[in-house]
Order: sequence, then structure tokens, then C-alpha cells
Amino acid sequence: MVPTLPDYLRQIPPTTLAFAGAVLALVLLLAWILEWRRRRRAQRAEAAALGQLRTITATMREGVIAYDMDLRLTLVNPAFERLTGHPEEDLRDQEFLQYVHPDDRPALVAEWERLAQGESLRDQEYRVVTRGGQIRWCASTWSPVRDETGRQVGYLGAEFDITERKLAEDEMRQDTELFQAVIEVQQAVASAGLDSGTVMRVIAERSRGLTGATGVVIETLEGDELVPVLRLGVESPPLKLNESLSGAAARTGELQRADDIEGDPRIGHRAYHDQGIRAILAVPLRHDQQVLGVLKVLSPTAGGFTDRHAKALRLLGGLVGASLEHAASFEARQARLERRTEALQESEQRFKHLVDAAQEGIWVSDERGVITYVNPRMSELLGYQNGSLVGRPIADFLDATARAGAQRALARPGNGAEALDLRFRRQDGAELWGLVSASPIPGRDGGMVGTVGMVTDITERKRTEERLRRSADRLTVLHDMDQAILGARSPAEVGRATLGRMRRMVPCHRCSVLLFDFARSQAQLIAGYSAGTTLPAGPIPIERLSPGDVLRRTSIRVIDDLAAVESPAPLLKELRDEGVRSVLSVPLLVDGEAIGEINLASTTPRGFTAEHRDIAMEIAAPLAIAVQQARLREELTRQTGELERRLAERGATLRALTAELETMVYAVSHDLREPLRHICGFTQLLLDDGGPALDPAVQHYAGRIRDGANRMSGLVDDLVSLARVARQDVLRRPVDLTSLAEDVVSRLEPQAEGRAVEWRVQPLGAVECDRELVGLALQSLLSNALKFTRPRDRTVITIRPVQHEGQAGIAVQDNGIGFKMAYAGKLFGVFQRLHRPDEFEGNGVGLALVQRVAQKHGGRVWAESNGDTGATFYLTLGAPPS
Amino acid sequence: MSLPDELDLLIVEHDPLEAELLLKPMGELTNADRIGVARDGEEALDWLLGRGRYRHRLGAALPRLVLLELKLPRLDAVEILRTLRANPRTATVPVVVLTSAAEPREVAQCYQAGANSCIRKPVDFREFAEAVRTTGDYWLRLNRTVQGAVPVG
Repeated sequence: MVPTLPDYLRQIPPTTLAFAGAVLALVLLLAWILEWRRRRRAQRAEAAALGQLRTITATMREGVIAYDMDLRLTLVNPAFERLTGHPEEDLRDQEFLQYVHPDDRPALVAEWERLAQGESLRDQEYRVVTRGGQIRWCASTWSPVRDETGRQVGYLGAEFDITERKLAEDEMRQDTELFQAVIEVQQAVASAGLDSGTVMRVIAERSRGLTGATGVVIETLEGDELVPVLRLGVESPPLKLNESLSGAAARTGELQRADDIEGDPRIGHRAYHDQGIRAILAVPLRHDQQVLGVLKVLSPTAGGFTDRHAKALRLLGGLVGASLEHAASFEARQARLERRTEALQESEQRFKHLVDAAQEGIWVSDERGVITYVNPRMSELLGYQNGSLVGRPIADFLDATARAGAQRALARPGNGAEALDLRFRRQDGAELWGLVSASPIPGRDGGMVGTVGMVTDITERKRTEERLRRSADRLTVLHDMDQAILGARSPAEVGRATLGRMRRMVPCHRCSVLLFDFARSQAQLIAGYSAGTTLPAGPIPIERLSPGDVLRRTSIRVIDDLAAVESPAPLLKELRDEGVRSVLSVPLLVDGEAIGEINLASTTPRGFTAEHRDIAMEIAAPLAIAVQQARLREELTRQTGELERRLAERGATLRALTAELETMVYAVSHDLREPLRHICGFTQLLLDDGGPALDPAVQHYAGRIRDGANRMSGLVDDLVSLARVARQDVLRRPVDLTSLAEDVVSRLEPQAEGRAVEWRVQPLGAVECDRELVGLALQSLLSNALKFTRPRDRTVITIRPVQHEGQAGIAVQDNGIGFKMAYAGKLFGVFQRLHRPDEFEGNGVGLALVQRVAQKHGGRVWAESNGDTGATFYLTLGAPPS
Repeated sequence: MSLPDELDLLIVEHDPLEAELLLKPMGELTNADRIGVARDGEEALDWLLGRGRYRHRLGAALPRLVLLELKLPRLDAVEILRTLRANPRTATVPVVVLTSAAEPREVAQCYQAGANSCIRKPVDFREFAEAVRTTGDYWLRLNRTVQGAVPVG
């Protein structure tokens, strides 16, 4: 943007302000002086007054002058002397106007006249011609000087040197003019169009106008030469880079100026000397930092070009370079285009033959995708009359499912876009699978003006693929169903999974799996979808479906058009109202009986092809098996659950019974004990009191009665103990097993009387257990040991600690008759005995009691024996040693 | 049949067979007419406390020993013991409880109710007779008793 002159003027204010300030100061001063003069009117002469004024003004930087009504200077200060270059004696009494530039005199005279008529003060600018003949600019402000009577006797003026400012303003104005000129050149270049000849001519003429040159040359850089492409008013040969001013400009990229070519070392030729050229300006023409050529102006006058000219040319060179380049490259393109157009026209015929004969369908569409050309094959592929495709969008011919995705790809294909598999819809409604590749047709502006596309018929390939995919799907479904059967899924899960697969292979509006329960006259919908939503599972009365005998049929049923069926079943009627037109029902067969069916419904008549039927049948077979399996499994689970429930019930009953029994055993044992004691007692009394008098046989029998009663009494005692152990809660306390064992040993010692028995009680440590119960168990174990060692001459019974599975316990080892390990399992059962009563007395309760004690403590009892060398009994108590 | 007014030993036993077996060894220690058998708890308490048909015995001498069968119809041993010990007159009369199947809990209850001793009756008669003789010997011969409530200190 080039600033206008007023803009520049506005940049001046500091000086103007200074000037205005000075003027103001001066006016104030003068006012003071006048006041001063008025006061001394009587005493002082005017000369004296002026003398005083001189003294005051001598030090002022502004020129101060006074002149009379004849415009003769009566006073000048040193600053004014410096301004004009004249000494005071030259100036005094001289006419003021003679120092003023003649051009400015009329304006000054007019101003004085204005002042004389009493007009207000106005600043003046005028030029002073100095003693040396130079021009200086003054800004001036005057005021009238009056005598004591009020009559004007002259003027007092303050003169300010504004030469510098004026020069700067001038410079700027000229610059502005220059810029405006250059802008005009540029506009002229722009309106000259793209023809480089015109552009150059405009530039040359304007350059001449701006610089006042007589000749202009535009040269382009070609190798090491500058070749003139335009000459105006001067002859100019091609010039070498290194021996011409143009060359220097091109090499350095800077403007070169020769005020006088005579003897200029940069110029090694004499082509211009003969034409009377003296001065040259050469400026490089650049675009993108690259020098394209040189613009040169020539003048017959030495020093004929000023700085301003140089400046103008420099600006022109910069602006014009770009224009030239554009014009040049446009021409080159134009030329190429022309050549191509010719070639195109030539090959168009060949291309047309090729396109017409192509096996691929070819179309051309505009930028909106509207077809502008198709080859005959394209028409044939889509089944339209040749030519009837033109004018319609290509997307119209795509299958509805393919349209959305493909539309954009076809209308605005990217470069090198991949080929697409697209489904077209032929006029006859059949589908056409095409392998489509589309490319954009670029426009001149780099944008896209259309699309050219090619279609290869791949319908057959697609169909094969589709068939393959479907059979793969079918296999997957069958596999899934196997998995479902193996995975023990419920019928509903299997049904849902199956329908999910089927919907992908057989397009349908609604599908469901029903299981029949003819006994209850209802069907169970286990899975179903309608219009994409899940149908709620639940029972449906059979009569709503179809007559039962129809449902029992083992063959596939097809309704081609529901609208043609007279009085359909209620459900079918509902479906018809929903828009269903055709129905496919496939029975689920198990052992030749229909247990249910798969139903598929379509909104189009004859919506199911033979392949769809095959798929449905294929799926129905394993689905039937899976459903049957699942049903059996469910039944099994139900029965197992029932069994477990009953078992649990019985367990509870059994436990209650056992507890009752144990209570009863206790009560019975207690009550039995009394009469037994009486039998024993009275038999004994009989023997004691009637003793000698009794028959020996009677004595024998009485003894037998007493022994039997005694044994039975012992048995009852043991049963009471056992029952008590069973009923009693375990009361765990830390028990010193060693002392417990010693107690038991001491209680048993009377039974060992007369035998050689060695008791070896090792330190057994302490454990948390029920002292009484463990005491009973230990007593049982030790008395057992004592009993079965009786045949030994020397009995050794060892009681030692034992640890098993983290539990503390006791081991009782004897050197008795032992037992066969085969019988080890029988040792601990109630009334289980390994010996006859005449071998070893006993009732088979003792070890059962030990086992109860062990169980009550969460411990174990077991025994080891290696035949007749003795036995070891182990008892653990469910707690670690404490 | 009512009990005599004065006795050395009162047996409380509902079972006559059991009573007979007890009397055999006891008879060796004191005169048979100094031993009485109360057939149940009511009769025993009436006699000991001098009430009901034995009202005339109020303030009469107490036996040297009461042998009390644990299991009795109606009033059982523990209840009889509590009544006796609650009465100042019979608070100190020696009572020995006889049991056939000693449940620890029952034995403990007897002692808490104020039994002087508990004895389990062995099945074998010779052992039983020996146990009864020892008991009688101790309580009837060696033990000193106090008649009625005697102020102490």
C-alpha cells in the first residue's frame, strides 16, 4: 500500500508543533514588549525601543524582523542573518521582498494587504533566496506594529527555517507519485493479460515514461548471455554476462547504474556508444529469488538518471518479474496444451474404437456423478438401450444396499483408488456384480471435472463366492450346534444361537423355534426374532398355530403366499396383518416324531428359495437333537435334584431317628440294669444261703444264671457308656494325657492281678480334648490290650504319643495275639467281634466307643497288626498338641 | 402298713426286690425292726418331717441314716433332698443316695441338693453286699449325728 501525500504530512507534526510553540512564545513576548512600550511612551524614543528589542532578539533561534510600511527592513536578528546568508548591514533598510523567491512574492503581498485591512493573523510559507543563490523555506508569522497614536507603522515578523521539513515533504510526495506510477504499471501489466509480448511492451513504455529514458531494453537470461526480447528506441545485441552492465545486474541481483558509460569498467562492449547513449540503468527481473532477465533504460545524457529514476526502476523490476514469469509459464503451458489437443484429437478416434470394443463397461460422468458417456458394453451389462443411461446419475444403477457406500467413492474417487466390488441392479431387476475402478478427471484448475469408470462383470465369480460363503456358514452353524450339544446348553440357548446364524443365511422378517407339548395342547416358543427384535419366550396354545395333525407332520411346509390362504390359523392371520406373505415351517424330528418346528416368515411372496429350504432343513436336524438332548439333560438334572432332596430329607430323618434311638438305648439300658442286678442278687443269695443243701446240678444252673446275668449287665453298662458318648457334647479343655493314661492304668491294675504286666507310659504331652470321653476311650483301648495279651507269659503294653495329619493322639501297643489286617475294618463296629466268647470275653462295644470318641473329636482311630506279634491302636483327637 | 415310730435306718425304695436285696446286708448290722422301708418320697417325707399320717412323729427322733434310691416315682431323690435340707429339723440328717447307672450330671445334682454321699450299686451281688455293709457300718456305727436343730456358738 502506498501512502498518500496527506498521510506523509500528518507524520510531520513534531516540527509543526515546535514551530507553533515558538510563534506562541514570540507573540507573548511581543505583547509584553508592547505593554512595556506603552508604559514608557513619554520617556523613550522608538529607536531606543528597537535597540532594546535587538538585544532581546539577538539570542533567539528564530529569525526576527521588523519592517516599515514600505516593507523596508528596520530590524533583523542574527538568526535571520544566518537564514538569508546576508549580514545585517546588507539587509537593513532593504526591501524585504527582494530576498523572497519571485514566485512567492505575490502571495506575500496579498497577505500584507489582508493584514492592512485588519484581517486576523495567518501563517505564511515562502522561499528565501540566500546570498549564495540557494532556496530556503521560511514559515512566518507577522503582526502589525503601531505607534502611540495607534497608527500602524510597520510589521514585526518571526521567521522560521523549515527548509529541511520542506525537502522531506517534497521527497515524500515524489515517492508517493512514484509508487502510484508503479501501481499503475502493475495494473497495466495485469490488464495486458497473459501474453508476454504485451506485458513487456507495457513495462517498457512505462519505464520510459517514469525515467525519461530514450531507450528501453528487456533481456532474458539464457545461459551466459542476455538476449534482448524487446527493444524500444535503441538497438541492442545479445550481451555477455561478464562484459555488460545488464550482466552485472543479473549476476549481482542488484540494480546497476552508469551515469556515464564512457570508461565504465563494467561495460566491455561498444554497442551503445555509437548510438550516443551516455547513461544506463539496469535492474534484474526476478521471480522467486531467481533472475529471469534484465530491464534496462538508456539516456543520451550523462547523469540523465537520478536516484529517483533508479528507485522507480528497482520497484518496477521487482513487480514485473513475477508478471513476466506468469506470462511466460502460461505460454509454455498453452503451447503444451495445444500440442496435446492435437494429439488427443488424433487419438480420440483410436480410443473410441478401443472403448467401443472393450469387454469392460466404461462410463464417464461429470462432477455430480451424472453419466455423460457410456460404451455399448456398459449399456449391455446393465440391460439398457444404448444411450439411455446418459444423463442419469451412475448411483441410480447401483443396488440399494450398495448405494450408500459407493456413491461417494464413485462421484469423487481418489487417485489410485482401489477397485470396488459393487452390486448393480439391471433393468430387468437381476443383480450384476461389477468390479469397479473409477478415476477422477482432473480439470485445468487442478480440481475434478468428472469421473471415468470401468466395470468388469464378476457376477459369476460373486455367485460362486456367495455359494462358498453360505456353505461355510452352514458348516459353521452345524459345528456351533454340535458345540451347543456338547456344551450342554439349554434348549432356549441352542435355539437362539441357531436362529442367530440362520437369520444371516436366510433373509426373513420373522423366525422362531417352537417346541410342542401335545399333551398340554400348547407350544413353547423358546427363541424368536421379529423385525430385528427378540420375541418373548412363552407358551402358545396349539390351536393358534395349526391343527395338531398338521404340526405332527414330518415334512417341510411352505406357504408361498399367505394372502391366498383361505381362513388361516389365528397366528398366521396375525402374521398376515403384520405384512407377512410367505412362511416356511420345518419340523424338528426326533425318532420320526415332530417335537417342534422352526418357522420363518418373509414379507415377500415366495420369499424362500430352494436353497433356503435346504438350509432350514439342514439346521433343523441337529437342532432337534440338541433340543432333545437338552430336554433329557434338564430332566436328568431335575431328577438328580429330586433325588438329592429326598436323600437330604432321609438324612435328616435318619439323624433324628439315631438321636432318638440313642436316647432310648440309654433309657432302656438303665432300666434293664435293675432287673439284671436283681437276678444276679437273688441267684447269689440262693447260692450263698441254700448252698450246701442244694443239689450240685441246681448249684451249677444257679451259677450259670448268675454268670449270664453278669455278662448281660456288663453289656448294658457298655451300651450306656456308648449312648452317653453319642449324646454328650465334647467339652474341650487342655488335658494332660500322661496323667490321664496313668489314672486309667491304675484303674485297670486289679484286672491284671496275678499277671506279669509291664505298663510303659511314655510322656504323652497335653492336648485340648474332653477328659472324660478320652478317658473312656483309653480305658477301652487299654483293657483290650490287657485282654488280648492274656496268653502271653509276659505282657508289655506301651502307651506313646503319636501325631497324624497335624493332630495329636495316643498309640497303644501290645504284644498280644494281634489280628489279621484283613479284619481291620471290622474292629470298630458295634457288636463286631473277632473272637469267640470262650476265647476272649467281650461284647464288641468297646472299640465302637473308641471310634465314637475319635469321631466326636474330629479325629481318627485305626489299628495295625502284623499277625500274632501284637497290635497297635492309634487314636487322634482332632487338635494339635498344646 | 405304716412305719414304726423309731428307726436307725430309713430306706426309700419303691422296688420291693431292691429293698429286699438291701435289707439282706443291712440286717447284719442292726435289728430288722430298726430298719424301715418307705415306698415312695411322699411317705418318706411324711415320716421324717412328722406330717400327714405320721403327724404324731412331729419332733420325734430321726434315723441315723436315710438310704435314698435315686430314681423314684413322683418325687425323685433330688426333690426329697431339697425338702429335707430346707427344713431346719432335717437339715443335717445323713442321706446317702444309691444309683444304678451313675450319670455324672445326676450325681452332681444330688450333692448340690445336700446328699452326704452317692453310691453306685454294683451288678455283682457280692460286691453290692460288700458296698452296702461298708456304708451301713460307717453311718450306723461310726458316724455321730445331731438330732434336730442345735444352736451352734
